[in-house]
Amino acid sequence: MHKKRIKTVTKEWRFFNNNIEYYTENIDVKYIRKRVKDNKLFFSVARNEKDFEKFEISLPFNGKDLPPISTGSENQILKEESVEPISLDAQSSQIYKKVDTCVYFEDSYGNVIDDKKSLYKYSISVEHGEKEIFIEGTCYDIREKQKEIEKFVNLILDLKEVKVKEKVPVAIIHSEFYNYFSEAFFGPNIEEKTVWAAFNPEINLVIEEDPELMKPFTRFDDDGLKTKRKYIVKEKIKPVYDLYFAYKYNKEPTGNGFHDPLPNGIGYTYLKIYGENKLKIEELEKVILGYYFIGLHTCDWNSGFVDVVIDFGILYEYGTPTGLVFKVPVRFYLKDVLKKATLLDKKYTLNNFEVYPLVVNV
Amino acid sequence: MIEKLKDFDLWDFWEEKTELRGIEYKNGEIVNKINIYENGIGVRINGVYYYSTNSGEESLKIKPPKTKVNIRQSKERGRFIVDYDVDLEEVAKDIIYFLKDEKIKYDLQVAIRRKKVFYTNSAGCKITQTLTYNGIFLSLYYKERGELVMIAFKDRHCFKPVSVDFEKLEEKIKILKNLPGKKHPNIRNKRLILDPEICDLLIHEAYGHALEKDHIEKNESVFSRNREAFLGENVTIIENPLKATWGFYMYDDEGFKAKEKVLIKNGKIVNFIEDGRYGEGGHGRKENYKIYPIPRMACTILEPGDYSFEEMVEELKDGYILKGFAGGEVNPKSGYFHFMSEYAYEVKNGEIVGSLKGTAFSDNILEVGKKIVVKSKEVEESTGICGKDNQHVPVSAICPYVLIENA
Repeated sequence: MHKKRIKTVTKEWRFFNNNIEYYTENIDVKYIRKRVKDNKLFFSVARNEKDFEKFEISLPFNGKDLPPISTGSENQILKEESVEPISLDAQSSQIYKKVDTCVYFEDSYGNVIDDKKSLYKYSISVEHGEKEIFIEGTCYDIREKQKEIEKFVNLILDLKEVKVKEKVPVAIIHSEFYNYFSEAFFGPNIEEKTVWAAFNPEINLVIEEDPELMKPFTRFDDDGLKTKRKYIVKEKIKPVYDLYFAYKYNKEPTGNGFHDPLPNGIGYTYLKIYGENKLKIEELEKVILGYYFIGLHTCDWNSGFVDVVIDFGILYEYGTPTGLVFKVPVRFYLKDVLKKATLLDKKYTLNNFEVYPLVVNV
Repeated sequence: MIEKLKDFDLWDFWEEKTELRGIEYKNGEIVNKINIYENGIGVRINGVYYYSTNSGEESLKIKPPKTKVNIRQSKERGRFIVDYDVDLEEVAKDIIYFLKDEKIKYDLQVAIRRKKVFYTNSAGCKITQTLTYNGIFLSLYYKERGELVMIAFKDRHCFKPVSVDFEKLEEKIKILKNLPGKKHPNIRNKRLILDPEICDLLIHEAYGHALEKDHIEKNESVFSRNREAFLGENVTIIENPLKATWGFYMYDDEGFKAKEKVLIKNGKIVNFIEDGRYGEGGHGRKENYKIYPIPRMACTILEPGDYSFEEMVEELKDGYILKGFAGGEVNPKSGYFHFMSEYAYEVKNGEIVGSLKGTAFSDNILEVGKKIVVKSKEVEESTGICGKDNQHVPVSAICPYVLIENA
């Protein structure tokens, strides 16, 4: 049997033009229990332990019992601090959220995981003339991140809008793209053949998972298993599984169970994306660095057809930023682009990704 | 807890109980189930500080804020209950049986959510409201000639258990099987008919969000600087939560009674979507006890016209009919929107000649309404889940078919 208590404390500061608009605090406590009996997984989420029976559900389970969880104790909680807005010379909305998650996880063998971590999420929109620029992401050190954002915003405010009439290469610098893209390698999608990656596409890049790539380190998944440094894509695809789906498909779990408060579900810790085929930004006559795309969540990620619009990007000419671009359509099939997998020869950290950005329209 | 709040001049209190049950199937096999019960409280003080918890022992730790923003508060007292249950496995069983001989793969989700809210505030409002939502969402996959295609089928209701229209589902499956090998149409500068589902998305995403008063006041809407803009004489848009079968509510989350509001009349903006913080209230909604309300849509309606669909196809002559929406996104500040249709029909000489894959349709709110040529008299309601500021609420839209010039 597995049992855990999850306490999440969330604080959010919402500023409009440097004045506080809302300050929010939320405390959420959940108890989760998992047990196996008669080829069924019994799972329960409740506000307290005495309600486990009341809210229990069962699912078919392809295993004799739950494996022992790992043991360990981690404390990556950042001390309490208030967040102030970045002072910007333009109208802005700034939202900062600090999420502290404390998980106490035990099994019936006496193993215990005591894992505490903090994470900041930020979302900033800055007015630039008639347009608006969005910057969002996650980080551990919010003060360092604010310094980066301030520098970036000052760069943007110095640039004017330019129109791009011809087809220009586009480097994708939006983490949401890589989120959706990497879901193609989840085991169930491949086993059930409901995704383009199930049909032996040629992928000329490397995707590597590293749970300690950045802070907060994620040493355990939600199934209590140790996360692992491993290749997801290298010459071939190595699908990832949580405990439930690994047992269902007779595979080994890969430490990719991220699903609380659900009984199953797959995710990643941190991913590195890189490859051989790189273009140097200084050698490119023109390239658009696409920072924010509209339409990513409506793409058909199953077939891999991406039909989006760059909501905001920066045009570079021979390595120098020369203007801002808005509303540039971009359309491609992932399996076509990944055959050559051209990347920009400059590394970016985008939330839980470290990437050499994929370049399309080459 | 409420006694403690009386130390403050301006406060709101919510107690919310939410039950969520759902089952997920992959090709007929159960892969996931949820049965979650949340009982939490949320407190807003002085319009600017929001504290919430589901953990009883934490309930006393409120810190008084220094700043204050005035909020218009409801004084209503009332009660509204819609409460029923659904046997999710029975609903799923019928669908699984229907699909068993089709050579397609699918993901099926069936769910029911019951939300019970007690709201009170410093103005004396006391509202109890229970709303129950249930629905099915089916993603259908088909592979042929090396190509994988997908199409969605959904049905949602908040007044009664859903009953699946198997004729419509059969039609969707036929369309799905016809898609491999087809192209995405190039709709640039073409005449288009948008089906009600696409039109619902247009009205909700493009116009609706830009008319939310928080976007207007913070200069985040294209209408912030264009309140006098003329949007096309064929554009009359109404917001009315009472007309919806999915986005319905009797009282908003600040206790204001729902009522009809005309937002745009014959192309001119006349009203905005407001909560109590940004206006007269009536459209303040929140996802759950963890967050404060913000201006949201519930049921957005485009006034229909007087053409039949057949007359519109004749009027179209040469162009495309965009069918079914696969999601959309808008930048309310620039007015730019972008969304995907699920599939399309090609029309030549006023007749439908074949089906094609879906395509993206993008334009600007300030311009697209002026391109509407005619509208149908038939309307359909589409249902969805609207995301704004990381909060998700059920929404509906009711629209006719719309013929557009020069996409």
